[in-house]
Amino acid sequence: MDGQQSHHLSKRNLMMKRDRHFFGELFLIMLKLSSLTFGGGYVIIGFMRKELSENRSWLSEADMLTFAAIAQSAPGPVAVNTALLAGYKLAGLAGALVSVCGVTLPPLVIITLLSFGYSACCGNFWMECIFKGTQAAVGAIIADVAINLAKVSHREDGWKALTIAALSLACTLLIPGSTIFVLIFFALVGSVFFRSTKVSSPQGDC
Amino acid sequence: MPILASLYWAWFKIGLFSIGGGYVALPLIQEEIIAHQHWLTLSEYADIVAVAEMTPGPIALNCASFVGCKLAGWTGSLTATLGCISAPCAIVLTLAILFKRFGNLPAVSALLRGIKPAVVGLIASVACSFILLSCLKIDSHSGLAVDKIHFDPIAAVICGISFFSLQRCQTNPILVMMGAAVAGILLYGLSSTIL
Repeated sequence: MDGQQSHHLSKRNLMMKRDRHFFGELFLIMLKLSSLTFGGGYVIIGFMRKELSENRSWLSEADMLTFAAIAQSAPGPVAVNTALLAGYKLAGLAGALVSVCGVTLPPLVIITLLSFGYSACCGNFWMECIFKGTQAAVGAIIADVAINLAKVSHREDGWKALTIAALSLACTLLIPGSTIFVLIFFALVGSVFFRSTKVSSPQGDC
Repeated sequence: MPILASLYWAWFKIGLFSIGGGYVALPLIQEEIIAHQHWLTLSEYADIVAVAEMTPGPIALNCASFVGCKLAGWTGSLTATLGCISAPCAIVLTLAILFKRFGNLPAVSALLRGIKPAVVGLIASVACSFILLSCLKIDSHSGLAVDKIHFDPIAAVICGISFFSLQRCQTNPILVMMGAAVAGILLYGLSSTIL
């Protein structure tokens, strides 16, 4: 793809007006994508690629890949990061702002409304039954996530990785308030032990 | 400290350190929101995570909105969300500029590679908390009341079946959640009306 296509895209993008219609469309795209991505932020990258690169040719495949890599390298929700980068590339800070607003609005509205509902029917017997059931499942789901991540980690870095995982689990359970320190400490330990030989590539593991 | 300011700051910290994937926010939230600020009980936290599994949006933002709303309605929701994305947005823009200038950032790659195993352990700790809570009624954050510990067979069954269907059958977590909700109604609800 790339060099030439990216160049053509850039030229076309420069000619495309950044008017109200454009920002409105960008906002609505992000709003729609955010409303449709259930469970796991990585799915939204694929959707964004489809909307922005395939359907509209606003951004090239290479751009989207770079955004995915950066989005996963930074803290914060991947969906927000990717939206920010796409918006920034398309229309600078204004684009970034519009993009991020579109992406964060659905969860904000939906959850706030649900939250009002939650406190309203807190004492309800059947609601309590439901939540007792979901509470039991939540542990299983998070355990499933942890185990899948462990498998990936083991595949990439072998038993050293699992040792670090076990140690960080032990520290967090035994030493209250240690989460951030565990994260920083073992991140440094890990980055020393696992010399990254391969180029950073976007991987959806979570 | 006024509530909105504490809300913003708490979520700023969570956003800042949630490196390495969506679920890494969970242990950070557990520590800051439940253990440190006591804005949620572990039980309420399990509820919002369950709801977050069934609603769209990143889990961190869902939790932020929930906690923010509980504390200060729409304003709280907005403040928490803004706090959560502030650091990531700043860092992402910085990384984008660096990427553009240097092409590749091996230091970042190395750090990410190192962080992954630690993230595994941290997420596992949240799983442990939730399983202990649902199956043994142990809330590690409200003091281990030894007399309150009791085994909940219904929870254990739901937990076990959920885990099995996720690991072996690759069931969609949304379906697992819905199944657990129905199971909750049937097993808890009917068992208490019949008995």
